[in-house]
Amino acid sequence: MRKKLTVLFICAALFFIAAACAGKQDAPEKLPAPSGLSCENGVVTFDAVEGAQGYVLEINGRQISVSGLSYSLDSYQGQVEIRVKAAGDGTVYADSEFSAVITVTLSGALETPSGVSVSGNVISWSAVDGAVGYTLLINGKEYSAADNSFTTDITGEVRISVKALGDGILHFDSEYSDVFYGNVPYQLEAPARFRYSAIENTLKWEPSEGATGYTVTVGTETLSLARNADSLSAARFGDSFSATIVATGDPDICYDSQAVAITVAPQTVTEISSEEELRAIEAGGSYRLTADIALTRAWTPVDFWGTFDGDGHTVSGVEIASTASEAGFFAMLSDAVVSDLKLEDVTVSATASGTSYAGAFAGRVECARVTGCEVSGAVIDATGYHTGGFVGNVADGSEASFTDCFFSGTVNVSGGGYAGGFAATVRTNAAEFVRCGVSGSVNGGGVAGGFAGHIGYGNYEDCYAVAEVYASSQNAVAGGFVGLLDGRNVKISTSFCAGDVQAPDGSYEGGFAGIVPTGAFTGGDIFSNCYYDGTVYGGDRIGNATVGRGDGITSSATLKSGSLPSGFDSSVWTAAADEYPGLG
Amino acid sequence: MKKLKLAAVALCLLLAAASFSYTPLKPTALGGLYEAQFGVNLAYGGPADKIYSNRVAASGSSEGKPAHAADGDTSTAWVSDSRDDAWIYLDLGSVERFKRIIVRWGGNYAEEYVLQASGDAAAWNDLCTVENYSEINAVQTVDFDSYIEARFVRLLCVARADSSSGIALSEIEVYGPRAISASEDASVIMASRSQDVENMLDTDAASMWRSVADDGQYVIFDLGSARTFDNIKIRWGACFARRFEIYVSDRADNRGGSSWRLVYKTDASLGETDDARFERTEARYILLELVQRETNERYKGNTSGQGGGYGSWPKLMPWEQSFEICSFDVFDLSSLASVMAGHATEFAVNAPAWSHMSNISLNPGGLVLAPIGYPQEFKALTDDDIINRRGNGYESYATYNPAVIVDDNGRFHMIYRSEVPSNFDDYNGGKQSHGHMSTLSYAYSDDGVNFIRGDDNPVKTPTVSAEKWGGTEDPRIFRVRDPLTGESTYYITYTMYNDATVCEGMIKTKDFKTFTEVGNFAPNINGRSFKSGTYVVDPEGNAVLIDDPRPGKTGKVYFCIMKDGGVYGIGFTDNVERIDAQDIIVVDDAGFGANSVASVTYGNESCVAVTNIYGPDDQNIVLMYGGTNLSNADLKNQQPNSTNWFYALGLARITKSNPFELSRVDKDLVEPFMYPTDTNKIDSGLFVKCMFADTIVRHDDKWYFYYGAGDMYVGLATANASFSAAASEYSAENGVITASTLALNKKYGSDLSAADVKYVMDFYDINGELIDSVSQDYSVIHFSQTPEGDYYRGQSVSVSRRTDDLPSQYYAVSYLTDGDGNVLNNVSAYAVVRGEVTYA
Repeated sequence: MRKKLTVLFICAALFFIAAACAGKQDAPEKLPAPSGLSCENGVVTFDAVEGAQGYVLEINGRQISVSGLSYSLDSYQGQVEIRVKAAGDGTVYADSEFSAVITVTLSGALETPSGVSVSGNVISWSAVDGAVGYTLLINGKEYSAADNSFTTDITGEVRISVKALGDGILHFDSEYSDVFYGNVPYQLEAPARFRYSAIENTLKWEPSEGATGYTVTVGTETLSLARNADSLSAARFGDSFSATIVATGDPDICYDSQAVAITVAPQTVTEISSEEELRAIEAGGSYRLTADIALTRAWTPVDFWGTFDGDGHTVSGVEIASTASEAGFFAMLSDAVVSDLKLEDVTVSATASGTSYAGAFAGRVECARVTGCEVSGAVIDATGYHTGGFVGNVADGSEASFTDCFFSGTVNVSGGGYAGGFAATVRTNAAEFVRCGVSGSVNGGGVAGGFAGHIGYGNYEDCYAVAEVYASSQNAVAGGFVGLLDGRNVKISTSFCAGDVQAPDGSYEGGFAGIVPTGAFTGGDIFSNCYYDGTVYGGDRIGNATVGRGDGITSSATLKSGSLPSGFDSSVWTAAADEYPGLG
Repeated sequence: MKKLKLAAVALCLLLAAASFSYTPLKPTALGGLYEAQFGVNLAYGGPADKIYSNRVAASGSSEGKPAHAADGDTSTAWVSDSRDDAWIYLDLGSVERFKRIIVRWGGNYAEEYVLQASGDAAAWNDLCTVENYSEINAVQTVDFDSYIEARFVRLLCVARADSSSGIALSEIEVYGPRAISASEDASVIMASRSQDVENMLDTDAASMWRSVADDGQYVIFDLGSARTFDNIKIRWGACFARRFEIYVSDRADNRGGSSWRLVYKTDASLGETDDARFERTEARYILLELVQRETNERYKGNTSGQGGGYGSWPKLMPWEQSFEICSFDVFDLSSLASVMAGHATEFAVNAPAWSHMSNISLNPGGLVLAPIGYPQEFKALTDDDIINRRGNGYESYATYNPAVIVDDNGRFHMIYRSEVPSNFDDYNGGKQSHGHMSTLSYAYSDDGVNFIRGDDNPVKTPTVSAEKWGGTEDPRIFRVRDPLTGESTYYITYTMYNDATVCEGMIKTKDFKTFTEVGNFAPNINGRSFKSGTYVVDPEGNAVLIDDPRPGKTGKVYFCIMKDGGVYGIGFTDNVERIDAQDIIVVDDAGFGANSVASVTYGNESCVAVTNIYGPDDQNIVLMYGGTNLSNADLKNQQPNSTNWFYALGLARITKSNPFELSRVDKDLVEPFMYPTDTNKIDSGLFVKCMFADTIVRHDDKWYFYYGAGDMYVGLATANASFSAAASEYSAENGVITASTLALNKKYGSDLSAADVKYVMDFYDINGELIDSVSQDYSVIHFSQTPEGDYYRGQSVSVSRRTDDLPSQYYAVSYLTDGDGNVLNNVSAYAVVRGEVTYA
């Protein structure tokens, strides 16, 4: 309790003095009458009077006290007589006289426009009797219209309300109409980047943003394709036809694109017999090798989505030094069919700084059918995340099959990525590997396997890996056939591996697999008739043996006995003494 | 004067006994308390066992409670368990500056002890060692040459006088600067209740001003002359302002006058101490607008424990109470040189790279959403009232468990659980008619911190029988873009609860204005009921299509993790609005052993499942789960005042191709990655020490974690997305001081290049003058390029300097910066100071 009370006392004293000064005893002074009385758009206004406590409006004889300087005549119609006086406080000031009367005629507010609609880029609504014009609010912004329609250049979603404008004398402005939510359509982009998928025998193109379908005209036939089928089965039209394609959309939102005319020509096969011709291949083309080719200088990886028939010929001396994210003879295979191509003496040095994919045959595969292709004498050195002998990554969501394909060579990885003799990572549930094999070694990586580093999905049948596997990372996962197999949607059958497996202490390491799923699960076993050579690797079949389920994998000491292991089909596999089983 | 005051206290106490109404206790006058240069006793936690007693923690007790050492009463004491290294620490309630510590012994005393300071109650900075070979009941006053800036103060015993029993501490007092407002010149010139206004300006921590019992109260302070200041600390009683505003003016304006300038505003105060910081300003007058009342949660409940309440302490309903302010302290922190010590709390310190969840810090501004309004209006609602949202109290009790997503324009949209209490007379937590009914409400923000409530809340009320009596709870949110048009639809999953069973519910919206009911999107099967529907999303909240992992399946599907209790279910679908019974796999974990998700995550709820953190190639699904039991059980016991509702957040890794089990459980579990501590400010919710999250979203290279705090509030924590480093640790030996930490380069997308950073250590004298700055450059390799790969926890980095040419007292501040000088980690300080001890 220090000074505060004193301060409060002083405040109180000041208030009393002020009150006393105000309390003089003279007769009240009469205020002057307000001037400037007028009425516009149904609102009465007048000028302020100094000293007024408020005002009294008299409208058609009825007096109304108001505190402000305006008053709305919303509820009045017809002829209205108005006058106003200033109100005093009765002690200092007395009320003024009334001002002179003004007379106005009101027919009230105009009717609110209704029936707003949008057609194309024209907004229209019902005309309002008596309106001298209209104001539109489109997405919060004002526009003027002379009559009951308006052409806008806004597209997409629009919020529209409209009011009718009165003359301010007989009619004043209407209310804004309730908001109308509509769409002003825009023209769709035309479809583009047409390409022919040999695998699916379909014509594909990039979707047009906003399109919900396509109208395709071939000759006299008109097809409507659903929104998600941005492709056209070409088979029914033969190998040569012309078509026009129009993207169509919801007419409330967009209108049709311009028509695009395309011609599908017969799949002319270009024959390749020289290095220059080979270097000139185009991504979507169709080719056949007619001679062996020895490359004379470094090879630049190519993206490919056409058809390539190696016809049993060999391309040798493939030297690749790449800093791109995809490195291999083919950088990225998408919608591609490749057959009977042999690559010999391949060196790949892949040093991308980001996530990267390297493999002698292809860096990455999104959708491909590969048959009868071989890579031999390969050395792959990579710093990237997905390094495989044959292919780096088999990407998710894609059809990918490899049949009768082989890799022999060395895979060297620095860093903690995935490494595999055939593929580093398999991540599509539509992957198939049939009669594929690896001979060589896999060195380095955090997750390494003789056939594949990481198997998330896929079907593996009659495959082998005769390869040493040396994972280098701490916490590594290494296996003779597969490093990390973490998927349930996987089948590996009649396959084997042979080779030493090594990984630093603290790693998971197994003769066939580093890590496999655990526990019982509907859908059956992952492995059937799988073997690893127990004479080369003496440890367990799987690295997580305490919890993992390696049912279907057997350690064998007789893989080189000259007779096939149980379950192997002699029409697929060959057997010879002192040799591992071979494929045809 | 003093005698009169004591008499008044005695009278109040008698009244309190008779009428059973709450009256604050005041401490007996203590010597030195009113010394001119010091402010209130910052250690004062209120009467023992009562208000704020959660602010004191100790190694163990054999007599009394730790709170007895901070109750302002020298006749009570805390006695430690019998050990040499007993400790007790005080949470000052917010970061404070202090210069004097007084230790009063009440029996067996420490012959030697260390006084320490901390910013997180984990890393302690020694301030001084006190040797005390004097007699029992001695008092030691320790004075420092400069203010120490810290939030926690600890007394660590080294040696006891009597080694057969614990040390007995009667009181620890901590004193900081006297506030500008505690000067003789300052006064209250207007207040909605004038009685006792001086109690806000004195240096007695216990005396308080109480407003009349209504909202919309105010106080106008006059500092006596124009003063410069940048900080106001309001120290509340049990009843505080949930919402308040601070204005300043150069003249003595009326409340509502035009000259007031707003400097601080909050809608989410938790009481205890509000630390309002704002841009330095000069003004003479301060207007405090007290908008809405709230009471400390400890006083709302009854005696059952749940819902607060302590023993027979009376319940205080906010709408019956007054605002209570013990001190209104105005400071000019910019002009108060201080020595910094420690650093703010961090979570998931040095977590492995795969988790991507390292060095999480709490939003320094506190909570982002708190309940609003009072519940009386909801007392007698009918179903029809609820469905049609009549009455305003729908979020009067709790607003929590938020789901947040950021749209293409950078706006944060939050759906949160809003709740009314059941029985307003006793808040007893019983599930009565419409009791504790939850609805879903909406708020948005353009900065992720300041949220504005939608105009039409709640956006979802119980409309079907599966939601009656319990309501709609715990939303999660995700986005699906139309692949052709790019148009976003936002889906909100929630728990339908009818006070008996739960179901998976869903609503959807395109604009957060119109919400469409989808209803029950996944059936309960085989007698199992599901909740916590958590779709697997990318860091931006987009549901992710993944190659179907079920044996024999092809094509892509969305995953919905439905984990609650011991049930681990996953639904698979290509249409997020519907999961068919045959597409739900309830993982029978019997054979999974150590790899069982359900057993490893201790039957807790799935909160968030994020994939593609490092790009579409990322196979990991980081599963965050929340619950009472995490494998590190000690954690719960380490937290003072934790209860059975202790809830923390854990982290596990499943993969796209196998979401059914864990594959590397020995290395993959990082748990918990966030948990309630004393610094979370979630002590006082409906459930003490309960932290639950439904959202993690990455935006502008930053992770935003929105969590439900104490089942009452929405809190926020953030972390750097592409680089992390823990706050520095210090060592000072052999004439060299070294700051060190682990730096983790976790860039995502396609750039895996090294990060060039600078490790800086600045040295200041105790007057805050920079003496020297040293630094060390590092090129931090991307984790993927290291042998440890996903398990990499960071590269060791350090910076050192010799100490022999430094002053005898100084402090060091260290941090990492990028090439542009942006600070990348929590700033950490280390103080070398001297305390002068006076014995009495």
